[in-house]
Amino acid sequence: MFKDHANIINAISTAGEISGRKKLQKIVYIAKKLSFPFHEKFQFHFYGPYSEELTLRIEELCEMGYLNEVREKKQAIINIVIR
Amino acid sequence: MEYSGEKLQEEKVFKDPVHRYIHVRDRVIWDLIGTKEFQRLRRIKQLGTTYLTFHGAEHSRLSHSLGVYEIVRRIVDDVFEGRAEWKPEERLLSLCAALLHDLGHGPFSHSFEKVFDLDHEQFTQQIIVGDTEVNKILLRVGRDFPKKVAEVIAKTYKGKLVVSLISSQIDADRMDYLQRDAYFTGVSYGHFDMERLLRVMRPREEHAVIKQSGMHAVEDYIMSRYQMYWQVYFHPVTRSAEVILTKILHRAKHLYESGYEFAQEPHHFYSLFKGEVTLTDYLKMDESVMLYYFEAWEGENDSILKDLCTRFVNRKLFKYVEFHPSNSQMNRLMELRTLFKKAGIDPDYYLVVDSSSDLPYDFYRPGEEEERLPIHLLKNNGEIRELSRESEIVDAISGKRRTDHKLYYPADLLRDESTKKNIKKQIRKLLELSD
Repeated sequence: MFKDHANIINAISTAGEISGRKKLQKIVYIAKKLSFPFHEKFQFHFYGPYSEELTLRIEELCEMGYLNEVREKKQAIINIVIR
Repeated sequence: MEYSGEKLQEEKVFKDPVHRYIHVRDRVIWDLIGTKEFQRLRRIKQLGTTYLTFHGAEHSRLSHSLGVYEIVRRIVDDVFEGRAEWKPEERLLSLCAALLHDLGHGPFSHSFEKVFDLDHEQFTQQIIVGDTEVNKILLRVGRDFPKKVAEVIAKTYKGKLVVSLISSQIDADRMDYLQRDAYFTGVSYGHFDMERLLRVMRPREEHAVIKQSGMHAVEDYIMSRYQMYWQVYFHPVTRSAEVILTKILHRAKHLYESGYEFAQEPHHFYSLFKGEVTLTDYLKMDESVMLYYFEAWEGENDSILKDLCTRFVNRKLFKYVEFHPSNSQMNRLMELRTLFKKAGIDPDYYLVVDSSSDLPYDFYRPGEEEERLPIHLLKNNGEIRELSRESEIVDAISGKRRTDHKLYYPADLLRDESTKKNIKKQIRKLLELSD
């Protein structure tokens, strides 16, 4: 129950902030491969491993008020930060 | 004659409620349909637990697989054939990949994979390249043919157009399941003009595009996805059945690990419990087998396993309330867990939050999302534009998604006042249940 959400928050707070959605996807993918307890399912996608579930959980965490996605000025990169 | 080009003497047809007829001329396709791995899909329902909400939704993954095959067949034979961007030598590859794309699904895939940490796509790959009847047939086409089929399904094949036919925002997979699921659930959403969509599809090197004149058919298709999602796929009652199913599997696994002696020994589950499932074990698992165990486990000594199985088999599902996980709600949840324990109801099995991210997702999200290939419209002047920039309707609904969490609980147990009357009353008050 929300354990998977908590794992993501933990990872992001450990990193401070993560700049770029793609970077976050790849970090969680590698961490999962290293046996960290992530359960999101990954698929091979345009830019390598990608998890729709992870995208959704981030969306939920933003909605719940735990995370914030901030677009850097004039850049395409979106920073994911703890609120 | 080479096997890859061999045609049946007479065309075979399957009657189909969605596409009217499914046409098979190729010997390879006919032979693949006859394999035991493909026939196994008859025993796995396309929509898992949805039949407990919509009683018509008993259609199998086999019927969906045939449907996807038929749509791809119509695209390549009726629309793409003869066009410069289409490579005719990729025809059979496309048809095989379409037919076999769901081959690795397990029983009630969603919960099953979550509990046992499996991935049906990996099993699809294994069935295609491993020692199976399917593999033998594909090998007769060519030595590297099984690998190619597996690559198309895994989306790693170099010919992106072929990949996009079975997995993209507007692919044969979605076109079939939307219509099929709408038909069998009986809902009035989910319909769109597929004939029109197919007619206006054009091959490009990397994917198919839709002629501008077909925009309204695409709008209808996107709308139907949107509506089917909320109306069928995300139905809270189906999710309740899914929650119970997940908990049954968790409980059985837990009991096995703690040395419990089952009255009905779960032979089919042992390798799953141990986390060392082989392809042979996996292929023996289907929904008939699973339901057999659930029924047998109604007679177990463990009260939780017994009760959960009785609930699933007899459709005595959990009720639910909306749950927004803010701090105060999280505190309420902790309080509820404590009270459940006091009332002698194990909250790990009987108080469950289900989130929107727990379910597969199917929304159209174009634009800035780097990770998704959007739908492209081909304008009359040859320009290619992203759909949501041209269509106000699609722009209005795409990516706008409500996140949703629900708290599931057994209302019947909480209303049973023969034990722990006062605690249960407190719980009901916290859940805002009427008496």
